Amino acid sequence: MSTLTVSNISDSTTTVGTSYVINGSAKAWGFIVGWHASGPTIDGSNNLSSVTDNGTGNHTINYTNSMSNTNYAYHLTTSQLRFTSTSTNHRSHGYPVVSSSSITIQTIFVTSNGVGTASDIGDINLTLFGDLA
Amino acid sequence: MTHLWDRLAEAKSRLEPVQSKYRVLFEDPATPDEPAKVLVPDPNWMACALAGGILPPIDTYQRDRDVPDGQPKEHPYAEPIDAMTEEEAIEYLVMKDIDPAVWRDYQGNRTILKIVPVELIPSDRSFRNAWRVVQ
Repeated sequence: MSTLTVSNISDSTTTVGTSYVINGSAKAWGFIVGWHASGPTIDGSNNLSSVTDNGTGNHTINYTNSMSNTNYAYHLTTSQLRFTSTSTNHRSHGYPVVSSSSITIQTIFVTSNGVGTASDIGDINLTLFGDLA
Repeated sequence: MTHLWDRLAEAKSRLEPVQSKYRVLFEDPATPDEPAKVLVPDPNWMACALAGGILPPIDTYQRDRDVPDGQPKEHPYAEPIDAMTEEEAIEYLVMKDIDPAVWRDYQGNRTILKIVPVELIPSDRSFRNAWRVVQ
């Protein structure tokens, strides 16, 4: 692997510092499919080592290269593709617990009358931004 | 030494993901009322483990468990290790991603951790929160 050591990148019109590129890159991402009968699978990722199925709708996603601390930004969405319902107001929510080496997500399926229950979800989409260890 | 994250990014550009044929089934002795958990390896991580020259030694992760947040960690800068077999990679992953209370410190009589082929994981999740490790 070769290394270019530069402070700025330019297309001859616009110049940007490489620190913007490095600091602005996602440090990890994952597309986790949660509805498989035999448990979740990671169908696309970077910098993840595993996903643990902790129980219904509860997953821990582990990073290969830890973050520096817990003060990082994550973008997390879940879908409920697994469910077929006549109600239009069903939705799923993810509640994360963050550490520097993993994130644990509990997904809750909320019905139209506001009742929430832990539930397996269609998929989890996760992106992390912040400082690496 | 190239940073681990750089090695992972470079490896992703040249290695095909490898779906493991194994899962790790385990219980947490600290929470006996919770169901058994199932650890699933990441295919890109498994490709790195099988290729060699990318992942750091497992003992660097273990030492980093005791490093407070914000302090420098060892594993991103450690010299990478050689290629592993899939079985060795799963054992590495157990030590990396599962609490030592499960795989190292537990002294009870129950079997609380098993490495199993994926076919042995139940395919019906109706009673997912009642799963236990079969003795």
